[in-house]
Amino acid sequence: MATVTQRMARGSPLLEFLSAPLQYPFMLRAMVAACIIGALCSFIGTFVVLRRISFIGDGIAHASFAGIVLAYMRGLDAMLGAAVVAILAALGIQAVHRRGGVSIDTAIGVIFTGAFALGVFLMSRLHSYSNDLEDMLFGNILGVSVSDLYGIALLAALVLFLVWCSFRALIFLSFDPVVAQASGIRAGLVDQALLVMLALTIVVSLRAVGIVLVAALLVTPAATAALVAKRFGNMLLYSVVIGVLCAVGGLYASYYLQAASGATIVLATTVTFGITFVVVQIQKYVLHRALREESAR
Amino acid sequence: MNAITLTSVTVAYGNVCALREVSLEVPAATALGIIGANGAGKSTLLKTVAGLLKPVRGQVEVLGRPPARCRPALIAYVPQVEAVDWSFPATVRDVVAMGRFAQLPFYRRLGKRDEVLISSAIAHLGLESLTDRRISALSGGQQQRVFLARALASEAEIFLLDEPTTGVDAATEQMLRQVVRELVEQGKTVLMTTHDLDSTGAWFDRVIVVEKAVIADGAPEEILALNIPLLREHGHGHATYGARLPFA
Repeated sequence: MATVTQRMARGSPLLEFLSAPLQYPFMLRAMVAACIIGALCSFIGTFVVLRRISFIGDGIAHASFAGIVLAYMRGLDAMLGAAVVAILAALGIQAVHRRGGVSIDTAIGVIFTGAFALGVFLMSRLHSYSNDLEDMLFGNILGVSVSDLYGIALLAALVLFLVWCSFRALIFLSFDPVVAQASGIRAGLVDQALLVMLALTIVVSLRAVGIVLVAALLVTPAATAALVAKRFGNMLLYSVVIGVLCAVGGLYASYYLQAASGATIVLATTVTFGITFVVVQIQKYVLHRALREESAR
Repeated sequence: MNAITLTSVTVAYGNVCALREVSLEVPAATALGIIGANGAGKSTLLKTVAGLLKPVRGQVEVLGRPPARCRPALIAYVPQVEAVDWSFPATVRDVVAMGRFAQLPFYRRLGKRDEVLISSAIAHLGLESLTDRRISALSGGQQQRVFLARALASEAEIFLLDEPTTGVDAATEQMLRQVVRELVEQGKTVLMTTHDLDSTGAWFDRVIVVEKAVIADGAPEEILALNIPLLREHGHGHATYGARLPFA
């Protein structure tokens, strides 16, 4: 594999630049993981941004830490532990909000900080310290194994299937939840589905970007797309394109700059947002000035 | 069978009673005007009929069933335009198409019939030239017409309109009134809240006055003749759907 890419790259500096990291199998695996995770996060992130539940992603990620530590203590798979606790926490917060009449940000604040604290508490009682746990906090996409890749792809497929099932209901509920509910769309059920999808997406992404940064991968590409998209479908497309490009670009940057992969990927999305924001503002300014001058004439 | 039947319905927000012991029968093919001061429970009444609020006591029936067990899109709720965020990335057509969503299985695309219903609803409210315009670039009157077009596209039997005439231009108001009368002629039932007492005769077959309960019920001219002192000086009830305009 390595020799093939090397042979292809010979002669072109750009191709060489792109193919050099891929001669390492772990970089190749990381690249595949980055593509899937970048696409998945920015896809679900579109709904998260439009439903204005950005804060939930951060909360679910932190809560899942308790599941990771618990799984570690029992010798179980970390992803499994994270998934179970993330889903329970996501549904728990919805139940506290809907049935208990507690505002959503308060419910997030209470449940997710509690679960994260539980994780830290349990970890502090472990006598042996594990690099695995630190990887989960800050992400280590370079450590993705082939079986991790299968897991990531499988969960991504499951999330895509769930979105396909609830796509129109999700759009309707994002724009106008009251009318959607009055017309017979089951808001509670669809919201639960969205939260489960969100929890699964976050768990899948933990390996790559870690608990602390996963919310950025959910929110920033979609927020960037929202600056320029006129229709929902476009926003979804732009968001996924931005997510994948930033994930791959960030990974290359981390290779050449020898920096942490998760943080570099997130910074790539932040820079993209910043540039887009400035360009859109300049565009607006120019347009308004043209209109003013025209009306003054 | 009545289109809508409420039997001693009481609705509360927490421990604040919004509607007390409301009983109401609305036959099909009726345009019912609901008037009352801010915070009197007009919007609460609409939401209760829509099944969005569950009464703490009493029964609601829409075409013989509780709202939650009605077929999808039987009830079209038309909220005030302030109820949604118009910066949502969608065109006029996208929003009107949402009227079809509830009755479309998730695995099926919008069919030819859906497309026809969407296009004719857009045309009916004079929005053809705005079909592909982004909704953030619409005026208040245009937004209200988009909401009504979405309701028409859903082929509902029951239409619940929450103060659709607030803040719209005269042309839109006339168009809304015409649509309401057409719906009634087609046998549909329309419930609409309004603060414009004087023009109720042109809109409605029947008017009720709500003040936590139904305090008057009759033909528009009868209600007008009652001269009820509706104008509360400082009505600051619940901000049910953001109706902040003083009742006038």
